[in-house]
Order: sequence, then C-alpha cells, then structure tokens
Amino acid sequence: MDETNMNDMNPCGNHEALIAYLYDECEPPKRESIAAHVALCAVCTDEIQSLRDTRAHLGAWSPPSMALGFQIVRTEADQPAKVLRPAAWWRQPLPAWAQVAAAVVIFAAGMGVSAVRSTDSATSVATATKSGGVIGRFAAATPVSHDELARLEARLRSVESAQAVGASVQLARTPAAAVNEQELLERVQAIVDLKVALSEGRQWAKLEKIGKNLGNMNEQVEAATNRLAVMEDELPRTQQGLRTLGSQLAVRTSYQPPSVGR
Amino acid sequence: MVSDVSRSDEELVTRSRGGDADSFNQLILRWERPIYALAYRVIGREEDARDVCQETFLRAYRSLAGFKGEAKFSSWLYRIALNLCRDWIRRQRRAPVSQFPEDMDILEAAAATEPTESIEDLVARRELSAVVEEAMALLPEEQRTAIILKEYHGMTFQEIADLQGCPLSTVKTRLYQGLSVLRRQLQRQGQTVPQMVTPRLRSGSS
Repeated sequence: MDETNMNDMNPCGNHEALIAYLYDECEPPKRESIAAHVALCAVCTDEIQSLRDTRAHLGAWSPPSMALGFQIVRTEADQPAKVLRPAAWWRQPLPAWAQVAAAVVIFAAGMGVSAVRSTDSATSVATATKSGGVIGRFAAATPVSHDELARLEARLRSVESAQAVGASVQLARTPAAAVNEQELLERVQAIVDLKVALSEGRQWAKLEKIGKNLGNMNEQVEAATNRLAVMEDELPRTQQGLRTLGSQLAVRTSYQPPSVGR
Repeated sequence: MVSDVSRSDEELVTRSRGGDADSFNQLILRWERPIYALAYRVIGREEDARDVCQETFLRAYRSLAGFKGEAKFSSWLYRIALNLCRDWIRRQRRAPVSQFPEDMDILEAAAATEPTESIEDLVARRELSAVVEEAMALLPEEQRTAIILKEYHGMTFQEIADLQGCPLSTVKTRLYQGLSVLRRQLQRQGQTVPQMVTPRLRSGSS
C-alpha cells in the first residue's frame, strides 16, 4: 500500500514519511520506526506538532448551510429524468410581497379560467356561483353506471393523450360505441362538464383560502405600517440624540490624556 | 421488508438500475450533503456548489447503466463531482481558483503577502471558519482538493490518488505542501490562533 521511498526511515526532510505518520497510514513497523525517531528528534517533533495543530484548525471550516433535498422526478412519456429540489424552496415561507404577488396572479388566473369556461359552456357553468350545486345537478341528470363511466373515461383519456402529442385523432370504434354514438357523445359531454365543475369547485376552495390569506396579510401590512408610523414619529428624537452624542464624542476626541510613563 | 434506509449503497444502486427512482432518491438523501460540502470547499460558492451537487446526481442517474460497481458508489459520485468542479474552475478564471501554479514556491509567496491584522481584530471581524476558508483558497487546486478529500471526507491516500489520477507519493507531497502553506498562513494570522479553537478541536489535535 505504501509506495513511498521510506527505506530511509529517518523522516527528517522526508515529507512523505512524515505525512504517512501524521495520518497514521503506514505499516506498523514503519510507523514504529518513525515514532522512535520523532521521539528523539526535536525538529521532527515540532514539525509533527505544528502539522497537527494546522489540521485541528481545519476542523473549524464548515460550509454554509444550504437547502438541498434533490429528488429524481421522472416525467411522463419517458422524457429524461430531472433532478429537482421540491422540498427546498416551496416549504420555506415566501416573503410577504411574494405571497401577495402569487396570490394576485393565482386569483387573476382563476378568474380568467372561470370567465373562459363560463363562455365556452354557458349552459352548464355560467350560473354556477357555487360549484356544489353544479356537481349535484350533473350527478342527478346523468345516472350512468360505474362501468360505463370507466369506459367513457378511458376513451376520454385516450383522446386527451392523442391530442397532447399533437397526433391526428382517429377514435378506435368498438361496435357498442358505434351503435350509441349520440348517447355516448352526450355522456362524454356530461363528463367533461362534470370535470369542469369539479375543477371549478377546487378553484373556489383555493380562492377562498387565498382570500383568507390575503386578509391575514392585510392585517400584517397594517401592523407594519403602524410600526413604521411610530418609528417615523420617533425619528426626530433619535436624530436629536445622535446629534447630542456626536457633540459629546467631538469633545471626548479632542481630549488628550497626559502620557503615562512606561 | 427491508426499508431503503437500511439498504447498502450497492443494493440501492441495483434497484435504481431496475428503474426504482425511490431507491436512487435514497442514495441522494445519503450523499447530497457530502457532495455539496465537497463542491463548496473546492469551488467556494454556495449556489454553484449546489448546482454542481444537483448535476452530479443527475449525471449519476443517467449513467447508472455504465456504473459497473468496480469502485464504491460514493467514489464514483466523488469522481463525477470533482470533474464538474474542475469544469467549473476552468470556466471561472476568477477567485477562488489558485493564484499559484503547483511548482511555484508558495511558501515564499505566502510570506511575501502583506502582514495581517492582530488576532484581536481578527476575532472581532471574522470567525475561524472564514480564516481557514481564506487560507485554503490560497492553495493550488490539486493541493486544496487533496486536503479536502483527506480532512473532510476521510479518504485514504490510495483513494485520493485514484480520484486525482496521480501516484501515491504525489498525494503525500500535495498534502504536505498544502498543510505547510496553511500552517504558515494561520500563523501569520497570529500566534494566538490556537486559542480560538474549541476544546474539542484542540484535544483532537494531540
């Protein structure tokens, strides 16, 4: 293991031998030999001790803490894996301004989506101020079995995925589907509407939560504003105090103490 | 059932190779701190060290098929990370890249620098950690890396030689020269520097 030319066991000037001894990485006989020399040689003793002291100092160096938490995330469609840091950034509280900005963006996006969907399917969701009512209505109007729903959903998903990759879609028709095409389309429409309604429901729940957060943030902003006002009121007094201190300091620095005999 | 936490690196690698991303995530959890610490100490910048750390695991994951298990998984990771650090240093010709080529007399160079402030001022202004970091930044890259691998990652001379692609004797020389410059630098910060060291460190030195 040790290729060092340590035939000469005298470590004086043999830096490799000293380092091997320092890190205790040499064969026991060599180690004993070097130790015997170091015990008798003041130069080598000093050298080893100062190297040990230096090593001890190195232990004080620690890297700044850093949020890591990388994870391999496999994306769909067998795209190359990515290493992300999901835990690192979003679990940490955002600054207030960022929360407000994010809330505004989400709110605006939610309203935009809501508006688009209202015009697209005016008959189904235009009046849906509360999603619960809409869900109930669709659930009552389209009593389909679980199996039928599952089949329809499977077809929907195949259509969606085909559209996602931009391929021209040709639905693979089963005989049953061909016979009940009109009915199927109605049910598909119902499911699409149901999905929209569910999505709306989630949107509203999110918006309510965001509204609550905004309320809390408003209170915090008000409190901060009040504190700022108080600080502004105190500013003249602080400035006066600083001026007084400054003048006292000027007096002190102009004072020269008598020299004391050493 | 054996949990991922109790599996060896090699077992987790095998499972990861079979497409189990959770097993690889367990490996990341196990090694991301050491790899980040290595990258930070080599290149000296937090954000860049984190990027190097991230890229290390990404490359490792994509190259799992090419990992034959001849070396330890951790050694393989260290190699990837060090290569990335080297690339980073080549791209960035700014600090803390070594200011001295390896064959230059760095002891002389260190002695020629301006005298530093007294230890009292030093303590008031900086922590010992920063002092060590500054001293380390003075070392040539090869010496700094050798010392980092030895002191902070507990590698053997042979492991360092394998990673640095150099003979054992070169590793020892790098360690000796690096420690000597550090000793000189720390002494120049004041003979009282040892008083700043915690009792644990001081007892560890003897």
